[in-house]
Amino acid sequence: MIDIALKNLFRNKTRNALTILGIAIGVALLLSLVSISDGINKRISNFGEGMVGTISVFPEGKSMFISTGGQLSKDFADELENFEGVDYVTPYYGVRLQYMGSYAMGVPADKVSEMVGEEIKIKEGRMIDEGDNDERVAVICSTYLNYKNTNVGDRISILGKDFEVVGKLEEGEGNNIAGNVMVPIDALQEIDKTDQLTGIIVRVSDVKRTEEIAEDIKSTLGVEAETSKDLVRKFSDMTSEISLMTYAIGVISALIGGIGIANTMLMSVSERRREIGIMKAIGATRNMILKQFLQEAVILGLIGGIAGITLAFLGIYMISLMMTFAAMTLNLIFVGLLFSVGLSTLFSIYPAYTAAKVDPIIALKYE
Amino acid sequence: MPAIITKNLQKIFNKGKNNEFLAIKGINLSIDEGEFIAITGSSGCGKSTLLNLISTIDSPTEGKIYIYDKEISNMSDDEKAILRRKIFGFVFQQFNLINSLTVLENITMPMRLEDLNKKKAEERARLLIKQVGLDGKENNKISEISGGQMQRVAIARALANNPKIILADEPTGNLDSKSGMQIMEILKDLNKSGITLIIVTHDLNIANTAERIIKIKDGEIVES
Repeated sequence: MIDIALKNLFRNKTRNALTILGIAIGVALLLSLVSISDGINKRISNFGEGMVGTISVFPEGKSMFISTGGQLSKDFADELENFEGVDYVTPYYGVRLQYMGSYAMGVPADKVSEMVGEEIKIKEGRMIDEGDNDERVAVICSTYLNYKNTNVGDRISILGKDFEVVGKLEEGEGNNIAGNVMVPIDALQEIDKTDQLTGIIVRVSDVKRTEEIAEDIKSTLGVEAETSKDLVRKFSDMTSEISLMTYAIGVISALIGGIGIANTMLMSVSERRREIGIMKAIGATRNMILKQFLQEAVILGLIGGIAGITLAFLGIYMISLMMTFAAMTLNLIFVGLLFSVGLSTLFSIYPAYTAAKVDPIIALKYE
Repeated sequence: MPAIITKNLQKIFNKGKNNEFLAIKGINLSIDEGEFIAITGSSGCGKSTLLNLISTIDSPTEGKIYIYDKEISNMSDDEKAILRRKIFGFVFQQFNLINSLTVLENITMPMRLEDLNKKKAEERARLLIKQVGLDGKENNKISEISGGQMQRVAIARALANNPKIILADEPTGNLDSKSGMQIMEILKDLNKSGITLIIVTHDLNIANTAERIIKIKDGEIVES
């Protein structure tokens, strides 16, 4: 009797609208966070794939993800190039940008193709090439936070100096680059008045020996040497905290939404006690009453879920204007609906059970 | 053929407590199919309690009730609910209609509980509305109709699943005399069509229209 269930929901519009709002906010929050968390995990996975056969070398006690400035010498890079099993090395110099934690990576202009691969797809403009050594030019990757709003010809500020954007990689391209913006290393070092390196990317000649060579570099040269697996693991450790937070927020929003639903349904049962008695007197079984209230809960959950998904769509759209990795997927819609309907049903079981066991003889005397 | 038989029926309220009260004291009763019975007595004598026990809405403390030879004391609450839906039609003094639903929806409710589809239930409900003289009131809310009309809705609802027995507890108690007479005429017509009619009333004029009067005093039958 879905029609009757729907009609019952319209009996107390304000209360039910507030309950729906509670569910919607919970769903929107959960979906937005899951979307961001999924996007980050996907990026890490792509990053790991792109880094297969490479070793990231940086000073002992440092981490690739927070390292900036000069820490290694150019001579050390030469020494590393001659290390057994090493094919070639790409030194880099990293600086943090003011723009929301983005990271600019200075790479030798003549070694960009070694760094990113020849087949990399450019959406607009061109790659940095040999002629750009001292030029203040930049190529942005889709991991750059303001990627969507930055175009070729725009200027971005790095260490207080303007760099002209000469190229923009396709979305998803350049995931193997730790930085979000690539610039010629000489230009960056010149501004920072240094010839030191932040780290060195080592390409091994035999991919199968990557782990072994990394261990040799570490023990022989006394530096940190991390393979793609190590990096992905480190990244994953960092993002597992984000995931944990996502789940925690999900559980909290579920509890808040759930308490709202349970409260609404319990009040509804209390107000409709006499009506339940009448229904039972004229022949409704416990299951029918239970089903009636659960149907109302499912409808509440569905409406709340749809509203939440709509809110999440807007939220994720806003986020995606800055971050390319946040996106609404069919899976997320399914998760949102399952979450809202499941939550409503779960938290309505007790109120519905209370309604089902109402004694008609007592309920009929209830005013 | 007896429609209802009660054997040594007893009902104690608040059993084992200080305010324990023996409301029905060993009532033995047999009501034949198609009979029109009036149960009378002063207020608080136990007549409504007896009707509640017969209707299976309430359970006896002791004794047995047979509905069409089927003993009901071992039935689960759900089995009793199904029995009420299939065998009985109820007319209460307080009407007991669902105020949030329309006249039509109230009447279709027992049929919907019986799993009849909405369209067919509404078709039958419209016939019943015509039968009780409420044409044009289908979509009215319960609060928009008079007491007499509410009782007609209750009768139409009681007839929804073609009951064999109609149980009416003070059906005219909340109505003016004219409306009361009209309701009684409808109920008597139903009895003439073969439905067993059991009315609880303190009004002797109404009781006298029945084929048999059962008089209750202090929970016992004193005259039958």
